[in-house]
Amino acid sequence: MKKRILALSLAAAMVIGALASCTKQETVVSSAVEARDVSLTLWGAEADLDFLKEVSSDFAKTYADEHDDVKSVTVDVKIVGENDSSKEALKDINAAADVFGVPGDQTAQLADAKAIYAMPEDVVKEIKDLVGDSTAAKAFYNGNYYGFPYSPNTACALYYNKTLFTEDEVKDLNVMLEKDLGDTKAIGVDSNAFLSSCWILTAGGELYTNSNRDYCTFDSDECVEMMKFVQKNAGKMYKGSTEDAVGLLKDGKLAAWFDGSWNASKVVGALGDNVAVTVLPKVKVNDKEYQMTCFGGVKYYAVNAASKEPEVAIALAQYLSSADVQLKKYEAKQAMNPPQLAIPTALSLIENDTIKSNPAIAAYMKQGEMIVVQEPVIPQDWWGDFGALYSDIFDGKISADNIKAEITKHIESWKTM
Amino acid sequence: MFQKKDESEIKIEDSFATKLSFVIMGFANLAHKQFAKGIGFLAIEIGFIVFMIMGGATNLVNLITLGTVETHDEVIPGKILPVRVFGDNSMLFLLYGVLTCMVIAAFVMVWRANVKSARQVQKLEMQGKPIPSFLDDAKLYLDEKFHITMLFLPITGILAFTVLPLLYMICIAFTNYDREHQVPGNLFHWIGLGNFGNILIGDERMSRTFFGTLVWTIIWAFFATFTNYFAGIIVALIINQKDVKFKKLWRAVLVLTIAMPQFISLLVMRCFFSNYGVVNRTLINMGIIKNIDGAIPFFEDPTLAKITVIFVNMWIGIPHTMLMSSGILMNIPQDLYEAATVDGANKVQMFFKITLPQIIFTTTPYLIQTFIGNINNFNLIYLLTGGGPVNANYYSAGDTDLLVTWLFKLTSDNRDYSLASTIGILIFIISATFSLLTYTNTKSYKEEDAFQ
Repeated sequence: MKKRILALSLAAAMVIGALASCTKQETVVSSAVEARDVSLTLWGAEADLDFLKEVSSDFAKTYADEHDDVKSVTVDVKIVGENDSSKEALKDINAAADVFGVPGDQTAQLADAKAIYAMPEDVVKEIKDLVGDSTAAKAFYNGNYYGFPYSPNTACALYYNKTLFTEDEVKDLNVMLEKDLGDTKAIGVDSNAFLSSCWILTAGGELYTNSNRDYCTFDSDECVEMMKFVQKNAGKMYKGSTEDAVGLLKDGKLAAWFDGSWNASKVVGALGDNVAVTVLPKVKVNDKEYQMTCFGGVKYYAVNAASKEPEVAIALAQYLSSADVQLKKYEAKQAMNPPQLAIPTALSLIENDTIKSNPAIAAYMKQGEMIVVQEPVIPQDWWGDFGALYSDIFDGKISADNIKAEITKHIESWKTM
Repeated sequence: MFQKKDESEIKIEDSFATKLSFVIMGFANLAHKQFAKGIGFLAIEIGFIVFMIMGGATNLVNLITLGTVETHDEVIPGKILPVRVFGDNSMLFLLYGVLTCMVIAAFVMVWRANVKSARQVQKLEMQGKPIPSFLDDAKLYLDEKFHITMLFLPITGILAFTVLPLLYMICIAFTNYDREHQVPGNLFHWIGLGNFGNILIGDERMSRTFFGTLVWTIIWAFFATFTNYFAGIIVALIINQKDVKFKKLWRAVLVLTIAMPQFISLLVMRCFFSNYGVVNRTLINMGIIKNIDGAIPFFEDPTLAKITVIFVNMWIGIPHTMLMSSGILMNIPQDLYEAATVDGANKVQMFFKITLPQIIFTTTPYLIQTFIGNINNFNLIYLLTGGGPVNANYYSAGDTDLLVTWLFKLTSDNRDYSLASTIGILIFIISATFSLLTYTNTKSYKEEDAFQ
């Protein structure tokens, strides 16, 4: 009797188990067909909040319409600016947004921490089609592309005083330096490493190419000659902060100033009606002519590696950086009071009439094209260290004969950063 | 007193119930019909065992290894993206490990209370005294032991929100948690005293930065404290002179700098002394300096920047000491001075024999506190110079960087968490040793009751 009960119960257990596995299988099958609700979060700057809400709800509608397996998409836009996003994301990757904008120089941090997805090949192809190879490469690190560039992170240009320099003079730095301006400085470059590195980069200096920490050619003969040239002409140049430069520009004590778009309103305000904007000039050192260049990077949308819906997240990132949305953003920013400049990256927009009608953008985009040096992924303390080195050379604290040795010494210390 | 001590020293052999309480908590209480207390102890023991089985034990193991599984990607056919499988999170392991240690410590304390309680009931029984009920005990906590009831909540709060993060941060100093070992993609590990070794002797650049910054921090704290202190006393003395008119007006004028938020004063000063700021521009306009090349580099020359910082600090700090010493000056009995005058003392003698000792006696603890405060005076340095000018021989620090602002740069810009934690510990050791040594040597401490 007991045995039979046992057998029966065993059989019952088996049947129930089989049933259970059956229903389980069924749910797996049905879930593939049954549409699911997708909810994503997106981090953006406070100034872009309204704009992002609008375009991401557009995205939500179209995506749900086009995909059978998705019933609805909700995108929650939260305020975390591009400059804070990587820091916030690394605090707790699971609490971070599915898609967030980051500046290109944060790629290494995020990629090394495995916090963001590398884009798959076919997506990379679409990115390249949209923004071109060189812009796409600014979100590249260690063999992978990490996102959708939607704006240059750093657009630099040369601002000058029309009454002190003519349009032709600002094309050649040697001419600018030779012109007799009395007490007035010919050109100013911030000692901040981001801008002051332009000299060495112009001379072909390379740093951390392909994220190789040991690779730096800042002490090559050409770079050293360039720094000697800077030191020799330091008397005609100014090295200081934008705040001081604004005062000098206003008083006519500084004729030209090289700065980024983020300071544009200050600098333009200081020069008033005399303002003109152009690209960096050419410079001749030891009979060799260079086109001056500087670091340049992008802001791009990255996809959180802990995202529950990475595919939809990629689609959102792609949508947000599409040419249409970039144009919409440009228009939205222009409509703001005071108008702001959202420089697009999409190649197709360069010929767009709306974009072309804005003269300020021309200088930035032209300088952007000239940027051969991709803003590298540099450890934070490099910036301070290079700025200090540059200041010491500029001020003559390092004599011309010692420049090479000093730069070599610093390169050694950068390797261990 | 003597009798009581004698009584407590009588050794009582632990009864069976008491002994069993060592293992089964609350057994003695239950055996003596203290049900609420006994069940409470037992519940805590069971809860603790469940907690240890459910995760506590794993937390302890994880605390030792800090994680072994690396983050990796798994390719799933048909999906565009590989699925990222996150490995162990060293940061969370460390946090939970510390938390578990605190839970164990708390449990040990409860266990000790349990043993104590078991012995107590055994003793009461042997003495034939009534065993208190739960209500009696509860009443005790509202009466005789009310301080424990009152302190329970704040202490719990301090343990959870201050001690736990503090222990966690201290632990980081003994790991290699930095940007190379950033979670969630990477693991970090215990490295013992490696960071301390690097800072103090191992890494040349690092130790140069540490000792350079340390020396400047102490010089700064010294000057910032004493310039303010003595200048404040002098200003107070001047205002307190009998023949000075409009005393209240002068005081009010000086106090205005306190009324102004400090950071605004500092930012104004920063613009004031910048290369092409008000000071330099005025000098250029007056023809004293030819052009911008001759501008006084208030914030760009290392030595000058240090002097500027100390000078600006006087502007901010003097009114505070002035106010305080005014109060003390007004409280010095006038008859002391009258008696001194009768004895033929002059003003200088009176200052050094009567005024200064009074002020110093009252303000030494304040002086020590200000000194320590200045060692950690983050606001002033950060807002005024940002640590600059940047020193190319230092690791991520400038010439006016204090240890504390350097620490900030290491965490917020460089993500050298373990290094920053190490420096935090070193700062604590320095300031704690200094303040203990000086404070216990002051008159205010030794002659606490002497002040009339």
